[in-house]
Formats: sequence, structure tokens, C-alpha cells
Amino acid sequence: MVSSKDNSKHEFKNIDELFSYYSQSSDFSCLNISERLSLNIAYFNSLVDEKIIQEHVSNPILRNHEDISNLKDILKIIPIKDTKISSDIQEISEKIIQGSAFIYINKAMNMGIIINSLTISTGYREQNDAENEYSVIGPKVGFVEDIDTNLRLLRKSLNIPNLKFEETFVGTTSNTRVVIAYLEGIINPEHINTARQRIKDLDYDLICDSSLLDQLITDNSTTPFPLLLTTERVDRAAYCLINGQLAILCDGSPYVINAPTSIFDFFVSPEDYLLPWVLGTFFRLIRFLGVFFSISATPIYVAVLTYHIAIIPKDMLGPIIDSRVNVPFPPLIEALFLEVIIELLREAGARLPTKVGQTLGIVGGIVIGQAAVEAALTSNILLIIVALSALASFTTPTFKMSNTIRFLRFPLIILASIWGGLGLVAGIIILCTHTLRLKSFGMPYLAPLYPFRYSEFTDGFVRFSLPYIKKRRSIFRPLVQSRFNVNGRKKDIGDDFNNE
Amino acid sequence: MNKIFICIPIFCLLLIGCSRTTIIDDVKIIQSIGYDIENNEIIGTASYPVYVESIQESHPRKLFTAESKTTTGVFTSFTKQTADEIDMSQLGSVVIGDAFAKNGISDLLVNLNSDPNIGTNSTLIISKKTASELLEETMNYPPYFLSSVLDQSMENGNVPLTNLHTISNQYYRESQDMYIPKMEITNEGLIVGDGVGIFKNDKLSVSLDNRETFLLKMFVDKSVYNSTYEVTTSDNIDLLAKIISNKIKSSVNNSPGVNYKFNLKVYLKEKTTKLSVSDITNRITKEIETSLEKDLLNLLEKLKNENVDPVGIGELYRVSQRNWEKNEFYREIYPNIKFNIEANVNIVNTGAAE
Repeated sequence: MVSSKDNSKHEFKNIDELFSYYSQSSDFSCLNISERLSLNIAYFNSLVDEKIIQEHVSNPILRNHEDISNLKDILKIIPIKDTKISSDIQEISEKIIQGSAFIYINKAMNMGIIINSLTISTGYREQNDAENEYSVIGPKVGFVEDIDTNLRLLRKSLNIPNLKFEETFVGTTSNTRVVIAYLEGIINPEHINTARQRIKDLDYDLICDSSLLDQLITDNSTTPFPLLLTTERVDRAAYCLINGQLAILCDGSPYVINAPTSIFDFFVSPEDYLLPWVLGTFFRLIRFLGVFFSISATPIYVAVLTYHIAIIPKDMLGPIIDSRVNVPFPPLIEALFLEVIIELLREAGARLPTKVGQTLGIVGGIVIGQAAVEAALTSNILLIIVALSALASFTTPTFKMSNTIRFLRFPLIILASIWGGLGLVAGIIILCTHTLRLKSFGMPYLAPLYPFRYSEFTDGFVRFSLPYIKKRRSIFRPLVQSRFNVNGRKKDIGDDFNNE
Repeated sequence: MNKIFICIPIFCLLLIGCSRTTIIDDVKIIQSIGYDIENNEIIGTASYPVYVESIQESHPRKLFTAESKTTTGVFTSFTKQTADEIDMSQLGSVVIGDAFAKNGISDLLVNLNSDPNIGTNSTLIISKKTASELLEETMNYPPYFLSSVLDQSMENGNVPLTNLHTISNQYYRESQDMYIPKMEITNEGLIVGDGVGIFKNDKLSVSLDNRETFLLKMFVDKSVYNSTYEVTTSDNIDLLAKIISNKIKSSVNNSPGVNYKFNLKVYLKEKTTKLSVSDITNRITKEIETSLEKDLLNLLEKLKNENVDPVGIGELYRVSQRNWEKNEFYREIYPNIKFNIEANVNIVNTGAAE
């Protein structure tokens, strides 16, 4: 438990001390239920559903007034799970702060009943349409902020007994509930150990979102690449679990962390699997093309116009020079200027309310772009290139990866302006070396490209027909290789799926 | 370790100042350059486009002219005439005046080759009038007119493939002589291709007309497509044979003699309706074959008499003889070679369009 590390946590000697400390908060209530039995109840009314207290605690006690003589009698008549008698002051203090009510007869007894009566999903969204990872077809159910709902959603989509949830509490101040979900018998226990270990070693006060957790337990926090996949789509999380990856859910966050991952996971959209494989493959390839274009188009423009005039086709010389002839800046400044405008638009669009954001997009995109060209601050051709590469970066289905791709352009633009094509090559080499060295939960990030796994390209650049994607990724060392049997194929060695 | 990681970026930053940029709109992009010689002075002419605000319009082009004793010396004068740096990396064609070509072009070729910015697929052209006149005439045409005319006629016409690369190859190899296409301005002011000029060493010595140019192309080009050959048959019908494919086999013997065997596939065009099928398969094929054989042989004999070797007969011998020696070959063996040419024509189609 995290509490051992926390110095600010009070050690209470008795209930009296505990209550006097807690009642310094205005939302701590201590009520008397029954005068005759001198029965009292204490709870934080901000955490507790008072309706539960009313219906399932106070009312039964008052109705069965006569039968109650001690705490055990009360325990019998309260129809709530996880109700128990405790005399451990530390446990009592923890449970109260986590949303339990505490019934006691006499403070001096240092003993009472802990009743779990936490308000369910008050203040949380009821549903999430997975708008940030939207797909036109397929389910639109996304995770919500309430972890219990999320666990139910996962349990419903993977309805087998070996889906295991492992609960811990993280954050010295927030004390956030974190659940590691995995398919036992399929996932390699190594990954669970890694997750457990990293979460256990965590020393951070406020965990308010899984993205925060993601950054804290990631393998390398200095890389621009996301090493763990966060998703708000239930089907995506379920697919990861099926593939022998684990999911980490965090209370209060609609995003689920999937680990370990490879770089290809970030370019996979659930839609790939919902469309026929030919179309799925085509769209996936378009997406990879978009990534390539988005990273390299502007740097290549800068490099060519600054250093390598010779490689421009003769017919294109005229249009390119025409559009640039009145621009007073070197290509670097011109390109950075436009890229920054696009980033500003994106940032402003994300901050503004939806309706205003759309208007701003049009105003920004058309008016500013056109005005910049007319004022001879940028060239027409660069405007097209920058707008296209911005568009292309948005085709990446995961938000974190598309941010990374947009970011990578800037160092490459600067390198291209310093050393031209040489700088571009240097930048790409650094990029390749960097991604090659990255690891996600100890697993190579560039798999199946490096280490090369030929058989796993059935679901790499190309999405094969579904029966052909029958193997889990061997790079994650799952205990069972095949996902399903095709035409009564023989069982895998080490298949302890049925031994449970 | 840490020191290295700090030092590398710092040195990189310092090196930024050392890079020499050629920003596209801050340079004068030379499209073609011409060389003439007059009273032992080399006159260089270079054309470059002037880009102005108007988009999608034809750009006015201008000429630099300069005099110098050397071919690179003209650039010194060019730089005096412009506010921007001169960039040669998009050079399309080098025009050589007739007089300049007769005076020797070895200096020019060496200089063109030593400039890494100049692409080896830029073309060389001999102008019948002076190079400056030809370049002035191209001012009325779209940019890169000269090189695109030449490229087009090499691909679809009768001009053998040449560019700086092949010409340099022929210049530096001992067993073949250079040939460079010629262009002239007609009285109506049109720029037209007009045969090729053949060099002995680095000096222009023989000129071939358009018909001979086609025959030369038959010998030297790997693929001859869309080139045309005119034949007049025994009954005075003018036919046009369009060549689809051409396969050459050559062999040498020490008598000395060279055998060439051509395997041609042709279309027949023009007046084919007057011919019967049996005519075409028997008589016409035969007549085209004999006419072609005669013409090819005449060309080889003519080149032999002028003692130039653009076909690369020397190369055929060089690859088969260990101690081949240039001077000895061209002085003693080449004038005595007996040529034997066999053409095998296959008419695959008549009349129909391509």
C-alpha cells in the first residue's frame, strides 16, 4: 500500500482522535441514529449516498429496534455487501475516506461497522461516444470516467472466466483505484509482473488520469513517441486483451492503457477489421502514406528549395519560382511560419467550444492562408504542402501518435534547412535509431519490423482476411499462440486454455 | 560521454554558418549556354528566365553575353551582369557554334564534366549559325525549347541518342568518335534539327544530313522506335517504313572485315493501298532490305573515307583484341575494312495507324 510512504498521513490512536480530526472538514457528518441504543453513524456526506444510508441502514435499524443489542445484530439486518465489524483504527480511517459509513455504539469501544455506501457514478458521464477515436461503422461505445462501468464494459465484451482484474490503489494523495486487466492463460505473466512492479514502485501524489499513469510507468519518458497505447474504445481494449496484452484502467479516466505495444498498434483503426480486408488494407496503406507525407513533405520542400534546385523537374521550375518570387524570407522561415499557423489553428480549435471552433477553422484556414499568400509571406505551393501534411497527420487513428508525427516535422525542417538533403537523412537516421532502441514494457517497439517476424505481417502494413490473422504476436510471448482454430486445426503446444 | 553529447550539437550549430545555400528565387537559373569563337575570343551567351509576379504566364527570358579567352572565363563576366548568383544545375542544353566546334571542344567538355552541378543528361547542340543567334531565336519559344526538341526527336525521330554523358563517354574512349546533333534556323525563323556533326578527336570534321543521321542511329542506338525510312520501290511507289524494333548482331574478323546483321520490324505507311499482300510479303520486303543494306553500306564507306568512326568499329575490334592500339588501328586497319551488311526486314503491319 502506498500509505507507508506517505508522511502526511496521520496515525490515529483511537476513534475519538480520528473523528475530531475528520470533523475539521465541513462534509464530515456524525449523526445519532438511535438514542436508545446510543447508535451513531459517521461518514463523509460528499462521498456517501445518503439514500443508501437512509434506506438500508437507518430504516432497518429503527424497524428492528428491539432485536438489536450489539453490533453483530446490526450486521445481520444490513443488506449491503462488504459490511464488516472492525476495530483496526487504520482500516476504519481508510474506509471512511474511501466512502464508507461507520456505525458505532460508543467511541470508547474503538470498534464499529464499516458499511460500503459510496455514491455510484454521481458526477460522472453516463456514456461516451468514443468521439476522439470515432469510427463510422462499428460500436461507438467508449469508456467512461467511472471505473466500475468500464470493468463491466470489458467483462461484457470478453465474457470468459479467465479475464482477471487486479486492483491496487495509486497516488499518495488521490489514492486512485487502478485495475490491471488481463486474460490469464494467454498473457505472458512477465507483463503482469512488470505492470504490478511499476505501479507498486510509483511515488506520485495525484493520479487524475490514465495518461498521467501512462507517463509514469512508461519505459522511456524522454521520447516523443507514445510507448503505451491509450484508448477509449472498448473494442480496441478488448482486442488488445485478446492479443495477449494487458489493460490498465484508472478510476476517473475514460482512457485505458494497453501494454506492451508496438508502433503498428498506433496506426491500426478498429475500422480496418470491420471493413472487407481489401478496403481495410487500402485505408491502412493510405494512413501509412499520410504519415510518411506528413513527416517528410515540408522538410523536403525546404531542402530542395534551399539546396537542391537540380532535382526539380524542368516543367515545375516555373510554377515553384513564380509562387516564391515575392516572398522575402528563406524557405525555412516561410515553412516554420506556416507550420506554426497550422499548429495555432489546431490548438485554438481544441480549446474553443465546438461551434466556434468550426467557424475558426474556416476563417483560419481560408482567410489567413489566402491572406498570407497575397501578402507574399508564403508561397502557394508551400501552403498546399503544409495544409496537406496537416491533414495527413490527422489520419493517424490515435491522438497521441498523431501529435508525435506533427511534432517530428519541426526538427526535420530545421535539419533540412541547415544541411539540406544530408540533414534530412541524418534526421531520419536518428529517428530510426531512436525508434529501434525504444521498448514498451521491455518488448521491442518496432516489432515486427525489427526484430523481423515475417508471419506477423498478416496484420502489419496489410490487413489479411480475418481467418489468416489467427496468431497472436509472438513478440509479446503469449502462452497460447493461436487465437482460434480454423477448420478444426490441432491444438497448440502449451495450450492450457482448457485446464482452468 | 556527456561532454560529447553537449559538444556535438554545439559544433553542429557553429557549422550552420558554413553551409552555402542556393535558394531557388535568389539565383539565376541558366537554361542554355552558347559558345562562339571570334578573333580568338570566346563569346559566351547564356539564357535565363526572368520570373515576375504574374503567375502561369510565359516568362520573358534574357541573355547574358560575355567575351573571354577561356570557356569558364565567360562566367566571370556573367556575374558582373547580375545581382544574383549564377546556377548551372538546371542547364538544359549547350549550344556550340560551327566555328567553335571546328576549333576544338575538348576544353569545354572537360569543364562541363568538372562542374558537379551540371547534369549529364543536358544536351549538346551544334548551331549552323552562331550559337548566340540560335539562342536569341529561342527567346520566342517556351523555356527549354532546344533540349526538349532534341529529346523528342531522339525518342520519336531520327536523331541518335546523345547527351553530355554519351558524348563524354565517346570523347574519353579511344575507339569511337563523337557525334553531336546540329540545329539551324530556317529562313522562316523556325528552329529545326539538321543532321549530326561528327568529330575527329575534338574537332568537327564531317556533317551528316538527315537521312544519314537515321542510318547512324540504326548503328548506334539500342532501341530504334518510330524512326522512319523512306524507300522508293522499283515501280516508283514512295513508301515510308516506320521502325518498331531493331536488333543488331555484329562480328569482326581479321581479314579485316565487319559483319552487321539487322533484324527489323517495320510498319509500312503511305500508298500501301496500291500494293497487294503478296507484293508486300515478297517483293517489297526484298526491296526495302536491299535499299537499306545499300544505304547503310554507303554510310560506313563514307565514314571510312573521311577516317571518322562514330559507329564504333574501333570498339568492336578493341573488345576482341588484347593489344589494340588506337593510332595503328585508324591508320592501318580501318581504311581497309570490308563491310558486310545483312538486313532482315519483317513488315508487321501496313497502313493502320499506330
